[in-house]
Parts: sequence; C-alpha cells; structure tokens
Amino acid sequence: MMAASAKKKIEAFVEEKIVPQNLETIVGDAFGRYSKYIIQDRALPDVRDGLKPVQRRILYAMDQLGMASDKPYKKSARIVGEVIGKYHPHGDSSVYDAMVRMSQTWKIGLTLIDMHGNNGSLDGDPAAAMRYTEARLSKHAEALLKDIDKRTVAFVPNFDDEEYEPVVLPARFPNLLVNGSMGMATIRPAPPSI
Amino acid sequence: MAERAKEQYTAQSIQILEGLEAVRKRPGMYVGSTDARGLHHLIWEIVDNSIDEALAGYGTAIKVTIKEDNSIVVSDDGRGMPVDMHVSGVSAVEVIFTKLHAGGKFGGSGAYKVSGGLHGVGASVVNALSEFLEVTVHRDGYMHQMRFEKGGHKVKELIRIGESKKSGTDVWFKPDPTIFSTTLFHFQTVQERLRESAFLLKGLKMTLNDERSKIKETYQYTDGIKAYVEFLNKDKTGMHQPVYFDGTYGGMEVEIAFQFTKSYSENIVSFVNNVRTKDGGTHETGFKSAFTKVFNDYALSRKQLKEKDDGLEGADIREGLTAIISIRIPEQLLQFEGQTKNKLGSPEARPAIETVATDQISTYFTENPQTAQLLIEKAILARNARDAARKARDDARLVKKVSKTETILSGKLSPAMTKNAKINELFLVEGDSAGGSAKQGRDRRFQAILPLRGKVINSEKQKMEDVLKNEEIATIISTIGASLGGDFQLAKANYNKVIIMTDADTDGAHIQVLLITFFFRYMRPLVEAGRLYIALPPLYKITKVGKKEEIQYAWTEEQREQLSKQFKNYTIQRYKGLGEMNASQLWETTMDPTTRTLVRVNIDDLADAEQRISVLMGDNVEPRKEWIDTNVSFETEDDFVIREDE
Repeated sequence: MMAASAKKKIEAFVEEKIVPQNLETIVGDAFGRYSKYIIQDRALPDVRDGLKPVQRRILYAMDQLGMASDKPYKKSARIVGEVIGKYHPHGDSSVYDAMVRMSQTWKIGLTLIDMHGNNGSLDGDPAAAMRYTEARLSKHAEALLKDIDKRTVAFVPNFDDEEYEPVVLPARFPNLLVNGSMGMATIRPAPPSI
Repeated sequence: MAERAKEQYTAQSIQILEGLEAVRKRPGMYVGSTDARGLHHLIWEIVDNSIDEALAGYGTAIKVTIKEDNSIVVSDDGRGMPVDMHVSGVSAVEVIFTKLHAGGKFGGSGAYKVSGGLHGVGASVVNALSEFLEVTVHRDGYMHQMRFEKGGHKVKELIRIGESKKSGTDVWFKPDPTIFSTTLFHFQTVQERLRESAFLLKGLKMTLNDERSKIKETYQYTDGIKAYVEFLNKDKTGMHQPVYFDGTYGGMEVEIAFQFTKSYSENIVSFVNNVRTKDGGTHETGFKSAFTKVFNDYALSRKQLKEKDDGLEGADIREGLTAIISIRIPEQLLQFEGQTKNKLGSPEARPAIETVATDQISTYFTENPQTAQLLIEKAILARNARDAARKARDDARLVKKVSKTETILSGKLSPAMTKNAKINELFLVEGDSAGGSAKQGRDRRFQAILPLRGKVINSEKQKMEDVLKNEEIATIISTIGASLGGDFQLAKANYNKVIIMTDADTDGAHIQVLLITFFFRYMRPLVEAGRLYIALPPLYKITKVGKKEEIQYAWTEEQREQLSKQFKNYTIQRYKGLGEMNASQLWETTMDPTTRTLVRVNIDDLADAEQRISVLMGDNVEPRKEWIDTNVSFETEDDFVIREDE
C-alpha cells in the first residue's frame, strides 16, 4: 500500500510542471520589481507633499475617521488598524513608528500628529505601546489635507480594489521643505532636509 | 516470448550506419543534444575550425552572420580549405564535410601544430545536421564552391566559380528543423562565445552580425586575456592592476592573467587550446599549487607569517581571485578526462603551468612589494575567518551531539516524516504566518517547512563569518546538512528539492533574491544540480457566485481576464500574502506536486550569473545604479493595471 502510493508520488514528480529559468533572469526580474517599489513607493517622499506613502496613508485614514485637531483624542491602535486594513498591508510596528515620528517635535519641524501620552523622548526612549497612546491630527496636518474631497488630487484603488486612496495630498504648504525627509532606497538618497 | 526474440536476432539485425547517416540517427552523441544547446554547438564547430586556422598563424578575422532565416555564415581569412584531389578520389573539401574522422589535426601532417579539434568530425557533423550547407573557398586566386543538401547529400560538385584575390573559407549552413527542436539562434549565446574567443586570441577580430535585429558587433582585444580579466571584474573593486604573463615550457605555451578583487569568491576560468575546460584539470591544479607556494614562501620571507604558524591554505589565498589560464598543448600531449573536453588530463600540463607561474608571480611580488603585502594580509584575514567559521561549525556539531536527537535541528523546522533524501522537499517560507499555513497544508510524509523571519542577510556584502552568525542562515545550513562553501557535499543534502516560497509581492521578490544569493555563494553545487526552486503561488482567486460555488485560481493577468469572462457573477480576491490562503488552498495551488508549477533556478553561464549577483547585491553602488537605470522603467505610477471591466 505504502509502496504503491510512493510510486504514484514519484510518477507525479516526473510529470510535474517545472519551468527552468536562468538565475540571472530570476534575480534581475525580482530585484527590478523590488527596487522600483522601494524607490517609488516606500523609502522616498513625494516632492509635492513631502510624504512617504505610509505617512500619507496615516494622515488620510485619520482624516476619514474625523480625528480633527478640535475633536477628542482616539486610541492609536484604532488608527493603526484602520491604516493596515484599508491602505497599507504591512506590519503594525512600521505604521505605529511612522505615526510616533510625525508627533515628535524634535524629529520634525511642524508636527503632523498630536499625540497624547508618552511619545518618546529626545534621549531615545521609546514611545508607549499603541494600546496606551491616543492621537489626533495637528493643525498643520489639516492644512495638508484641506480640500481633499473637492477633486483636488487623483485617487487610485487600494491594494484590494475596495477603497480609494489619494496619490498625493493637496498640501497647502511645501511640506518637503518645511519638514524635510530622510530616506534610503536601493540606490537613491532622498533630498536633504533644510 | 524470450525465445522468439532470440530467433529474430541474427546477423541481419546488425546494422552498420554508414557515414553521416550515423550522425543523423544519433545526433546527441556528436553535438550533445538536439535542443538550443546542440543547435549552437553547430556554430562552435565551424567557428572553432576557423579559430584553429588563426591559431596556426593564418587569418586575423572571423565573421559570423546570423541571417534572417536563422541560417549561419561563418567566414574567415585563413588559408582556405584545400581544394585539390584527395587520395580517396574526391576533393579534399568533400572529405572534410562528408567523412567522419577526417582532418588535418591528427599530428604528423604538419598543417596544425595545436588545435582545439581532436576527432576530425566537426565539419561533417554540421553538414549532416543541416538542411543545406554551402562552402566557398577562396584560394590560389580562384573561388571554389560546393553545396550539400538534406543532411550532407552532395548536389553540386566542387567547381571553380570565379576568380578571387583573397584567401579564406566561407561556410553557409541552415540547421535541419527535423532534427533540432528549435532552430532559433540566440544572439547573446553566440555573442558570449565569440567574445570569449576574441579574448583568447590576442588581436583576432571577431565580428558578429545579426541580420534579424540589425545588430553588428566587433570584438577585438589587443590585451587578450588581460582584457578578459578586466571584463569579468568590471563591477568589482580591484585590489591591484590586472597581471599578465606568458611563457613556454616543454613545447606548451602558457598564458595567465589574474587580478584580486575585494569580493569573497574565487573565479578561475581555464582553457586548453582555446576550448573552455569547465571542470579544470591538471593545468588548474598546477596554477593553484604555484599560487600557494609563492604566497607562503613570500609571507615567510617577509615575516608576515611565522615559522610556527600553519601555512596559508589555497582557498584562503584565492579568495577574491579572478584568473584566466590559457594553455596551448601540442596534439601528441593532449588528453582529456572522460568523453567531453571539460577536464584536462595531460600530466605534462601541471609542471608547465607551475614552473611558469611560480617564476612569474615571484617576480611580480618582488617588483610590487606593496601589493604583495596587501594580498598576503587579505589571505591571513581569510584564514582567520575560516578558522572562526570552522569553530562555529564545530560548536554547532557539538550541540547537536549533546541533544542526541538528530531530527530536531532547529525549533522552527517542521521536518518530514520520512528521511528519503531522494524525494524530500524543503520549503523555505517567508514569515511565521505563512509558515503556519504551509505546515498544515503540506504532505507531511515528504515535505518539510522552515519558516524564515523577515529579510535574510545579504551574503554578498557580508563576510562569511558574519553570514554564519546569522540565525536564519545557520538554520538553513544545518537543516540541509551538507555543510557549505568549499566543504559542501551535495550527496549529503537531506532534501531533493529546496523550494523558496514567498509572498507574491515586492518584499517576497527581495527575499527570493537574498536567498538565491546565499545559495549561489555558499551552496553552489546545489544550484548547479538544479535542485533550487521557486514556488509560484497564484495571484488571484476567482469565485463563481451562484447555486454552486466554483473556485478557480489565476497566476497571470491574462488568466484572470479569461476566467472573469468565463464566469458571469464572480468575486475576485487578490492574494497579497501566503498567510491569506487557507492551508488547503495553499496545498492545492502551490505545494501539491501534481498541480503546482515550480521555477527551477538554472545556471547556464556561470560568468553571467556571477556578474548579475555582484552587480545587484555587491558593494559597488555605481554599476547597480546603472543597471536600474537601464532595466527598470519608472514611467508608470504603479504596476497595477487599471481595468475597464470593473
């Protein structure tokens, strides 16, 4: 019985669909896709609003949740969940870290997020976990988002084609110059901050 | 049954295949195979004849033209094939193209002193496997022409068709489509081979003209193999200028060029009479022992190494070495190991190379003491790294012994139930979440799962020592169980297939690249044996909505479109990660040997693979930037397709 099934298994291997491809082709293709993505969609900010995709998605999600600067704070975990679920299919820590950074006055010229609770310190202490802290948009962030619902910017479908997200924020002020940005992609450094 | 077969087996059943018929019947014996490789072999046979002519000192230019109908013209400006009558009663040209084991390279005849050709079958084999072959000889002021068709049947006798002031031979042939599975010539393959030949014969002008794509390229290198070393190292950081020397010993001509780079791999390419010896042989052995001897002697004399220390080992010395060895051996001394010409067996080659190389490298060291010091320091560093690595390995072995249970190599590995290394498969899975699905979905009798956390270390940029310290890598090594690098023993590998299974997204692509780099650098025999695979998970799931639910998977955009036309009401799920699939879905789409598709990682040309890895994964940013600029298009905003039908 065992022998028969083992034989069948071996036959299956013989018939198996195997596509031979050269190592250099595989590596070239995969690396090309990865570097394009890293350069375009992850590590470098857009010159128009000075935001990396994860930052833009956080601000847009918060705007959609109505977390304006004059509204009460909401739990950071809720925001992170919204961002991951709707726009940014990656790990939660990368989203929360980006959020915290946008709230740290010593890291960024005009903070974009107003965070309540321990959001770290200049000495490098970590922020409290996302289940403790609360957040809302800052006034500056509202200026970046203003008029987004008035057909000012292009929208594209999100990763599962169920939501739309902005390609860029309307950005009333030149955020790239104000806040600067650092980033390292596979080959290109980001513009320096001022 | 057995008796009947015996009766029929009489003298009548013994066939003798005459002449070219034998070649057509069993082409594999003469050109290796009838696929693209065998097809290109036809060009090499004719080109090698022209090269032998140039090697003998006649002719300086060889031109290869790929015509639009995939026929090939090879022209040289050598002496031209002899056109006079052969003692057998037909013209010499006819003998060359229709008789097996006929040629001027068997020694004694005096036409060729050294040559790559040995058996005298090349030209006739090409003729036998061609739809037509037309040869034009320019010689002694006249132009002669002869034509064969349908596998070497003479349709036109050798006749004088006009006057000619030049000398040389043009061979025009078209491979027979009834023999070859493909008759499409691949530009790059031809290009690489011709360029290699141009490197080997200093000054020889090689022209490749592809009339299909109107590309014409010329290769001519006055620096010969020194330029070849520069070419191979162009994306690496050299530690000194390339070194070139030549010499003769016992009737053999030796040419060597080498350069050390800051990379960690060793790349020695050797040639005998301009034919690549892929598996090395006595000439490589001689070269290596010369290197080891000179390095150790010099290090001792300069007190960089103390008497009581162990000597430097060859592998340490050759870390980062790129070398070309070319030896020309007269026919009477030439012998290869085995059927193919992949490994040189002539015992005389070893002392020849060793003497010339020892002498010349010592001289080089004496003249360039700073470089010598640098190279020896590098070798000592490599030795220390190797010691550390060995210690780490020994420690790992010790732990294994203590725990006594051989099967539990790592807490993360879910081993297969059986230990059959001929069938078993190892899945390297991205992330714990996908690892769980794979673990539940697999056929546990022969599939083992090893989840990897996050990105693997880039083994191209790190020293061996650091690579081994990496937990992910250490687990892979101990799981496969065949050691690594120079100690790697393919026979000991615990798995028949090592399959990389990552998400179909960009990070998954990156992990694939990192893992392939690791296997290429540290377990190359596994890759060369075709045992490294990449799993292909589907991109979409299309569910038909209705009374009876029906699920189909799509691997490409086209498949998806086709399926969505087929179903009226459907929902689409795009798979972003393996963890999104249920265990049973993962099994049926990606892991079940009867339904899955695997991509095998092939190494066709080692130099190409080597270059791609060092450009994309190495230390130098410039070549990578250049590669990305020419190969990655940034025109579109994103790579998803905006579809009309939604």
